[in-house]
Amino acid sequence: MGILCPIFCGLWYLFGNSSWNMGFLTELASGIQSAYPEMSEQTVSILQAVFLCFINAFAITVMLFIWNGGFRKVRELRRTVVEFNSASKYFALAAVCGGLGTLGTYISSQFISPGFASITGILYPIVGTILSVLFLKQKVSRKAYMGVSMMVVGGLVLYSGVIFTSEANLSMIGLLGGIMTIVGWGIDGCLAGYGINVTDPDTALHLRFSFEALMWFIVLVVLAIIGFPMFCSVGFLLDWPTIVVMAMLGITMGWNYSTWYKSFPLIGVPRGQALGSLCGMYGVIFISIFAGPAIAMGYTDDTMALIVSTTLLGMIISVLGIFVMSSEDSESMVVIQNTGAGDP
Amino acid sequence: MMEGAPIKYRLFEILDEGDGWTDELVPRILDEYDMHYSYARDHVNFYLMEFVSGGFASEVDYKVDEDGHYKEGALLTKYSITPSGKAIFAKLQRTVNKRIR
Repeated sequence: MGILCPIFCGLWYLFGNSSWNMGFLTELASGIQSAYPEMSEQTVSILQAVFLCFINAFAITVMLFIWNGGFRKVRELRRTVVEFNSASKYFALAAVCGGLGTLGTYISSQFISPGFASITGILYPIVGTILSVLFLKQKVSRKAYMGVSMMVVGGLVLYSGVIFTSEANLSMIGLLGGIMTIVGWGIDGCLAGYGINVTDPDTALHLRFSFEALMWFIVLVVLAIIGFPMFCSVGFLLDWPTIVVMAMLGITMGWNYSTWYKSFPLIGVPRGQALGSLCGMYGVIFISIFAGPAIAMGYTDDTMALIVSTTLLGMIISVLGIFVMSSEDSESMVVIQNTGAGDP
Repeated sequence: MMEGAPIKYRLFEILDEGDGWTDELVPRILDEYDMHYSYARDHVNFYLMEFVSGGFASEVDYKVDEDGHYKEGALLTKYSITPSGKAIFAKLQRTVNKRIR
């Protein structure tokens, strides 16, 4: 599960980033700019990212209805959703944190580069590991701490290239988006890891994305009431290319999260997150293949040497950290997991 | 108390009452939840494996299913709840939605 997860995640980065040029987002930007000509491009991009987050969560929720319906798990879904205090509240909180993490990754991909966004995703196990030690009372071995330390160093190398080359304003918003991803997805995994101990992973995942879709829908309605034309491009969602991209978003992130969540009860939150965070590597590879390395890593002729070297070096150090962290023997894994009664 | 609750809740309760073999635990859940199909059988068995990986149950004995009560020729495992499993079940008893059962 842990090995399959990042492959789907890498593909999701590819489809997520290709959405930016589709009619439903470009028309949304035109609509907002027509209504508010003074508004900066950065603000419009953030509003586009919010709309994309809703589309993403909605597509995954629909895909999971098919998935769980096929496996006859809808009754289990109903049994789980009513258990608010013991189960579904963890998925509601995970939806808020994970949703903000997804918004962060879209912001950093738009303001810096898709490659930067996906490699930033490598770093969320740092937060997940800290929280699972503090709140889930899971033991983490010396090897895991060493892996996390290497990931921190890799992250610093990755961030250094962007800090020294990008325009200050753009890179600051992008860097904040990256931090939202690291913190949001880290907390998401930790909360879900606790809830999945007592529930079915597929139904847990379905609840989490239903809550996230609901959250973004409420945000869009509030923005529309304030006066932003957030639903002006809804008609473009019925285009066949858009439907295909939405389906691929649902399938890739749905299976990414499904395999991610299923790995938690089996190998623990820190290891599940460490393996899952290889998505950064797959993201860069897939986007480089289909869109070219310049778009994947966001460099120009002037900045190519620094950006490529810091991106690749940061990725290599972080991936080595992931392998160190996830290379526990099976006996240690039982010991590490044998304390899972902690309360987040 | 946990009848009709999510399946893992009920599995915790059954294990808390005493150790159980795969061919006792799985058919009992399938009967209670009216899920008589092979995918559900294998999935409930997988929940038990998740309990072991998570440290909530331990495997104490093994035998081969010769009479096909669970699945003929399959390896059957005897599960016992661990202190971590008891702790999480105690918390479930406090937080379970009592109004709907």
